[in-house]
Amino acid sequence: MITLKHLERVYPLAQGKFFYVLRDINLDFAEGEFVSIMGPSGAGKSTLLHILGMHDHAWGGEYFLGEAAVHQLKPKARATLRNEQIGFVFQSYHLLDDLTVYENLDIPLSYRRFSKAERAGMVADTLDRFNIVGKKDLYPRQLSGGQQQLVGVARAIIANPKLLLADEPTGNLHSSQGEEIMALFKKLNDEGMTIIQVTHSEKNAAYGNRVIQLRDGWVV
Amino acid sequence: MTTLLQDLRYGLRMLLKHKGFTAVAVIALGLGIGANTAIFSLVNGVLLRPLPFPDAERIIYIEGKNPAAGITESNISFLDFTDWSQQTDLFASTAAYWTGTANFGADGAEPERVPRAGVTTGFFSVLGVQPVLGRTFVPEDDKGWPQSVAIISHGLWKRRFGSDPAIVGKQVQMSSWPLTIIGVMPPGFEYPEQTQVWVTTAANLRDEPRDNRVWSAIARLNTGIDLKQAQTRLSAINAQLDKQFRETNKGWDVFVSTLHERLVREIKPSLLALLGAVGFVLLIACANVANLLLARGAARQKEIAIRAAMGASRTRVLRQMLTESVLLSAIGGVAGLVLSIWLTDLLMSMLPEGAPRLGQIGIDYRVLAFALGVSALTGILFGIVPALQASKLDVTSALKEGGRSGEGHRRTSARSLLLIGEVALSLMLLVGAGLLIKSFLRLQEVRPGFDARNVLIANLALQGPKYRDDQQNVEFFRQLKERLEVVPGVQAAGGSVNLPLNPSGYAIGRGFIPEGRPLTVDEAKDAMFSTITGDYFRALQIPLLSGRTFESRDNADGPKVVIINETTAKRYFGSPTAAIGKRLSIWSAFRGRRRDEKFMREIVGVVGDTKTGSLTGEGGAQIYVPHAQDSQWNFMGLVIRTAGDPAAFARTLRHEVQALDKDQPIYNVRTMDDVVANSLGTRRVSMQLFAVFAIAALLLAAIGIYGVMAYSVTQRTQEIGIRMALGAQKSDVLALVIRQGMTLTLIGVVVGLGGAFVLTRLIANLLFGVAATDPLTFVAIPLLLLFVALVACYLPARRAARLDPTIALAQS
Ligand SMILES: Nc1ncnc2c1ncn2[C@@H]1O[C@H](COP(=O)(O)OP(=O)(O)OP(=O)(O)O)[C@@H](O)[C@H]1O
Ligand SMILES: [Mg+2]
Repeated sequence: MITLKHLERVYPLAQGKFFYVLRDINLDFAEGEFVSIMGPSGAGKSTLLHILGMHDHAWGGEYFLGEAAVHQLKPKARATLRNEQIGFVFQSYHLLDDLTVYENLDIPLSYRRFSKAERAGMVADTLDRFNIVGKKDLYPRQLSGGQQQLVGVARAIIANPKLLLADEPTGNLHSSQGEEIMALFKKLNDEGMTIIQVTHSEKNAAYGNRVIQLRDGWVV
Repeated sequence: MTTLLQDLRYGLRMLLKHKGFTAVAVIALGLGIGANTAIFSLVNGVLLRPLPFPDAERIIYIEGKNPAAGITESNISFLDFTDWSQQTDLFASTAAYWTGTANFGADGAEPERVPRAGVTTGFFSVLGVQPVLGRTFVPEDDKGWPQSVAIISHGLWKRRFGSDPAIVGKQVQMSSWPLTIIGVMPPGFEYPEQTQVWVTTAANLRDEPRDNRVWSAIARLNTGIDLKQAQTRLSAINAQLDKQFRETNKGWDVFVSTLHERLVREIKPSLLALLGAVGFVLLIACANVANLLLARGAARQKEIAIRAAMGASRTRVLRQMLTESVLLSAIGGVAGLVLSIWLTDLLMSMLPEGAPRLGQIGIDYRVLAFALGVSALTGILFGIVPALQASKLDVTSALKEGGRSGEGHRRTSARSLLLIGEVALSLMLLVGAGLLIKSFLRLQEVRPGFDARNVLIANLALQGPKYRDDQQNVEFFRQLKERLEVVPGVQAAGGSVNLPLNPSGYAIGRGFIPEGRPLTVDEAKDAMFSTITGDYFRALQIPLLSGRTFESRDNADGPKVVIINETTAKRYFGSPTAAIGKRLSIWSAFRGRRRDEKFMREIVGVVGDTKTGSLTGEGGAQIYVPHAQDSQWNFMGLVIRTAGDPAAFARTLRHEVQALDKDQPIYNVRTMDDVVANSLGTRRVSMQLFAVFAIAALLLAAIGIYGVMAYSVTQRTQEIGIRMALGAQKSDVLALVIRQGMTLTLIGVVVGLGGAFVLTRLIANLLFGVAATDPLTFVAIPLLLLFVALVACYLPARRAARLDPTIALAQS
């Protein structure tokens, strides 16, 4: 599903020097995989995930997503592709404080071509599926961390992406809450969703079928 | 006291620390307070300062009105005045006077034209002024025409006589008649207008007709008498006179106002409108500074939380914040006061010549108090909202969050409200300016009925024993016309006793009665009356619609003729062509002699209408007679049409006049273009100032919108990052920010439109040819404002759209 060839990410430093965050990354991810990326702090895990999530465009090399050669796409086409295929879960949830659970779930839909009725239907389905109907009018601050991340995951998959990216989704959670999220991921993966997560925990990595180790920008 | 000092010191340190903020705020406040102080010093000098006479509020001005005839302000007749003056229980003293100009000569030097007033004996005691040298008039001085004694102004005494202490008793020439100077008035006293020489009125009560309404009258009320009592009594007398003298007094009433009110009547509405406008600008500036303070308040949450945790009460925090803002506005106030000195000078130089009471404008304790008060008020005004916000802070959460995303809803909504108010205020101001500008454009489109380009005008009053014979006057102007016509570059030359737009401040109304109607007051039709000489119509290019203009055969011996304007022809004779050959007789009085002509004049021509008094007024009926057939006039407004720049012909004109008689000075030499421009003077100034204030308001509002949106974008950086990560594209982010800004703007526009709808009524009397609710202005101005707001929102929106989501997300 995903092929990365000679992918690299460089930050320019002062006085014409460069800092390689990712070097010559060559990876393949098959459809239906549940992969965990691990490695010490500063290894470049988040950087890689943001490139995969098409938040970051300043990289070199080749990135194929399905049929599409992402490295050749114009920004607009990239954005469309991303909106069709990818969902993203953040370590610190990143729910919008001023919006209710319902409204937070609606954000991704508002940026895709859905009618109002379709959107309402999809939000209702998702609330149901994640069993948070009773929380739909609450604001993020009225939820526990685990509940917030539950909403974060629900929001990430509401538009039916093929690929779910998650950057330390349980990093801010108690272990029991973390386990719930991981169980959810497992379930989503069983239903056919491809998942790539960054994690520091061996236990979480065990939910997946493969682990990739990053160190100083290299795959090891 | 020590805490205040402490607050002040700390406040000053904060201002010094945030130099950028302080500079922006001081500039905005300085401009706002400066402009307000400058306009206020105008209002103060013209409207608030009492006239420089003792108990000036008891001096009243008496005018005539005749509602039935549509006359709202008129001079009064001397005989009516005499009747009013009998009411000694009302008035401590009364005076009637006329104004004009005269050739003033002394010691054989070339005569100069000076403003002169003929006043009754009571004049100086009504005003309560004493001469610095000599004495004022006593009844024995008034021995009729010509006058024998004169009082001169301090300025003239200084300039012409080197402040000669032995001036009293000296002989001078006034229009070639000898006069003895009996007194010198104190410095600055030049009432009425810029009078330099006061003489006795030379009124002859036996000859004076009751309808010779050319006099001005003032009176000093007795203590305990108010304006209303005086009004009631004088009206009652006039009702009596109406019955007693039907022919001259039918429908004539009187109305009194304080002299001060009368002097500022025309300029007052403009001044008040300007004061309102400039006040709006200051309010908008305040809103901007308040928004800056709110933004800074967000950054200061931690400091305030720590203070509160250390035990500062809410009022204590409030006071400290207010001390800082008042300190800021005080600095702005000082800057503004300095600026206002310069602005006031600028304003004075913009005002048209002859605007009233300019000498009274300057900085006095009232202006200082105003500047001080406004500064303090603005300090509290823009400081109170941010201070209240800061003092309401929840300490624990602010400390816990470390000031991170502590920006609460309250602060945001305060900023939004300020922005809405700012937009609304500037919209109102812009609508006002739009209406005034449109009025002004309309005024410039007004066709005055003549062509002002390439026309030079000048006044000439023939004076001295040579011109006692009326035919001499006629002959002089005829010869002058002939001499001027042969000068290369002069295309036409002529003259009229009163020119259009009234540049010599001189207008003559006469009645006329079409042939076949009885010769009674009820049949007389009012008309502007001009005795003309030379090629008057050609010189001003007033079009001839039918018949002919005057020719040399229309002399004293020829059949009596008259030319009327189009309005008269249509109103009373059907049409310009139908009027030719019809006859009318002229009915009126002038300066002591009954001027009813006992004969009929034949209408030989019909010319186009011209604007007589002002561009805004109606031309009304106008009738013209040839100087040769109405030869009493020694006075003419000369008009010459030239091939090139008319101003260059001033020398030629002077030369030709002096070639005929070297003792006759011409004066008020101006181009007709100047006259037209000056007739719009006050309107132009108020329009320009209004426009400047409105543009300032628009800029301030744009800066305000920009500031609020830019701040909001920094506050929302993370949110925008999340939205982008969730699929928002550049256009979505752009729309997000612009929608937020434009929603606030739109609310402001709606509020402003409501306000403008109400407020523009207040400037309705400053408008011309455009309704206070002019639909075009009410549509175009909001569109302009929305467009500017869009630009102001676009800049921060673009920055938001260019955010790098990975960096934006990392901001937590
Ligand atoms: N804008 C930037 N400019 C320069 N260097 C950067 C920038 N952003 C990240 N880096 C560097 O890139 C490297 C990789 O960062 P990244 O966030 O991908 O690490 P990570 O593996 O996710 O670490 P962690 O486990 O702590 O989240 C780090 O050394 C970081 O300092
Ligand atoms: Mg990371």
